[in-house]
Order: sequence, then C-alpha cells, then structure tokens
Amino acid sequence: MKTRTSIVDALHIVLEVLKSGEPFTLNKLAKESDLNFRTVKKIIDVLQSSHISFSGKQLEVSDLESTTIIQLKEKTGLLLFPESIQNLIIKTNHYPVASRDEEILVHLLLKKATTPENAVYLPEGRMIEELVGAEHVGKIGNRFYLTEDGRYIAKGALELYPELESISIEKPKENTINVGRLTMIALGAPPNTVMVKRKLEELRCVQ
Amino acid sequence: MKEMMIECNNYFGEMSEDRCRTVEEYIKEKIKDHCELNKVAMKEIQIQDNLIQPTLTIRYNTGETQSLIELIDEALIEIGVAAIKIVVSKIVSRAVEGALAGGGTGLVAGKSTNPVATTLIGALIGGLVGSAIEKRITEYVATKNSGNWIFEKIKVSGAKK
Repeated sequence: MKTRTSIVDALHIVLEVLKSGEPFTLNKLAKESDLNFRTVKKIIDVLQSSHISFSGKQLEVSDLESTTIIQLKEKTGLLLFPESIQNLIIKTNHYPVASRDEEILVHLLLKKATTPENAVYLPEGRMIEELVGAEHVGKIGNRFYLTEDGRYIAKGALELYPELESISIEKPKENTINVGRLTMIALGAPPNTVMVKRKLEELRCVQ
Repeated sequence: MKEMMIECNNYFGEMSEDRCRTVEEYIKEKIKDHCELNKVAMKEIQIQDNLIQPTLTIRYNTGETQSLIELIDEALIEIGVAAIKIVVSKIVSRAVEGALAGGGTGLVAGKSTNPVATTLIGALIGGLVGSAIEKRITEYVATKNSGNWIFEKIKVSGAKK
C-alpha cells in the first residue's frame, strides 16, 4: 500500500528530479518521483507561482533569540547574479588567487581532517599558529584538524578556487630517470676561451 | 648547400660573444680542409639563470657528412664541449621559383606599358626575394649513443626511391 507523502517531502523529491535539467511531462515526472500525478501537478503550480514571487528577490530568514524574522527582500548588488558569476566577480576583482591560509584549510578539508580523531600532521609555522589562534584549526600534539569555522571557510574557499582541489593529490614518485632529459641538462663548465685561442694558434702555426 | 645544426651539452656560466667567435674560428680551422666551408656560427642561449645551451651551425657545399660529424665531434671534445644531437639539412634556395613567379607578375602588370621591361624587372625582384627564402630538407638526424653516433636518415614524403 502506498503511504502518503507530505507536501514538503514531495516538493523536495520533485526539485531533486528536476535538478537534472531534463524536460519532463507531468506523467513522466510523477513516474520518476514516484508520486501521485495530482500531487506533482499541485507542486508544479506552487513552484510556478513562487517563481514569479521570487523573481529578483530573496527570502531572508534570520533567527533572533526566540523569534524568527522572515523577509522577502529585493536582490541588490552581487546577489542579482547567479552564484557562479558572483564567485567569478569576487575572484577577479578582489582575490584572484587563494591565500596560503586558505590553502592550508582546504588541504585539511580534503584530507578529511575535520575531527580531532582525524587530525593530520602539518609542519608548524607562523601561519598555522595564526589559524589555531583564530580557532579555525584545532591542534593535538603536532597534528591539526579543522574546527567548525575552519570547515565553513575551507568549503567557501574551495567553491571560490576549485583549482585547490588538486593541492592534496599525491603525485606518484618517479623512480625512473628520463635519460633524454638527463642528457640535456647534464652540466659542465663552458669551454675556456683562452685555451681555445691557444689551440687555434697552434693549429694555424702547424698549417 | 648543406647545413649542420649541432646541439651541444648545456653548461654553467654567462653567455660570451668572445667565446662563440673563438670556437667558430677553431672549428673553421679544424674542418676547412675536409669540406668546402661556407659558414660556421655558434649561438649561446640562456635557458635559465647561469645555464647556457650552445648550438653550432655549419654550412658547407661539399664534404662527406658522416666523417665531417666525427671530425667536428672530436674537435669539440678537445675543447670540452659535447655534441649530443646533429641535424643535417639540405638548403634549397628558391631563387628560380621566385624569378619565375616575379616574371609572371611583371608580365601581367606590364601589359599596358612596356611588357618586356616590366617582366624583366618582375623576374629580377622575384629572383631577389626568392633567393632570400630558404627551404630546409632534413636529411639526417644523428644522436650520440654510448659514444657512437647513430645516423637516422629522414625520408622526405613523396620523394622517389
């Protein structure tokens, strides 16, 4: 027997199916989401009407001690753009490259050092001390892990600088030497000009 | 005419014009009796700070390439330079092609005035331009392996066997 799905759950399911970007008929959407045709239709109606209400606006929900304030605000400035464009503007205008502390935080995140049990070894230095001081990084002996704040910053940095994902990839150690390259970079001293001149003189004398 | 491009081992230090000219003179003296020498030029390129890559270019009209390579290699070793790769190419001047093309252009352009004179001028200019254009056809690539030169003949596509 089919159980009744709450409208909230149904909304999440439909949105999850629509995420793929594929076109659906109501029937296909109902089949894909395993929901009743009429439920799917209702959800699509709600989404369509909310889409109009949210155009150029954003819903701001703030928790204030015992009260929650909800406000539909006009989008201004950067918020007018999609998230990817916002990131691009921030990156281009203000922070074209990740800072060293962001690199450290992302490294810890990628190493899954997010709890004291999973702390990893890092060479100590001023930068890591500052991060510990700011409570972005926790320390156990000579091993380090991300605090909740650190995790939040690291995730943000990774979104802004996706290229950081490669920083913790361990490259395989090369046991073989490229002989061709070795020949090219084999070094020596340049020919001694005085010696060459002397040899030249000898040659000329013989002839 | 043939051209030999000799790539030598990199060495430490600063680039030196004087050293290049001296090595050029020395190589000239060493090989002048074994070929009809046209030009010897040495170039140093700084590929990194204090790291120099020397290249020698030798142009000659007649002479047996392989024995010439052995001779140059020996001469270079004597002064402490190791050749590691040599590319031998045949240089074809396009003077004739240029003259023909220039003559044709002159003929077309000169129809209204004096066709003969303009054709001749066109051919002369074409010849001058053509002689400045060089075409290199690589014949050999020689690489050193355990002290011996390995010659690899380069096949020109479309060439008759």
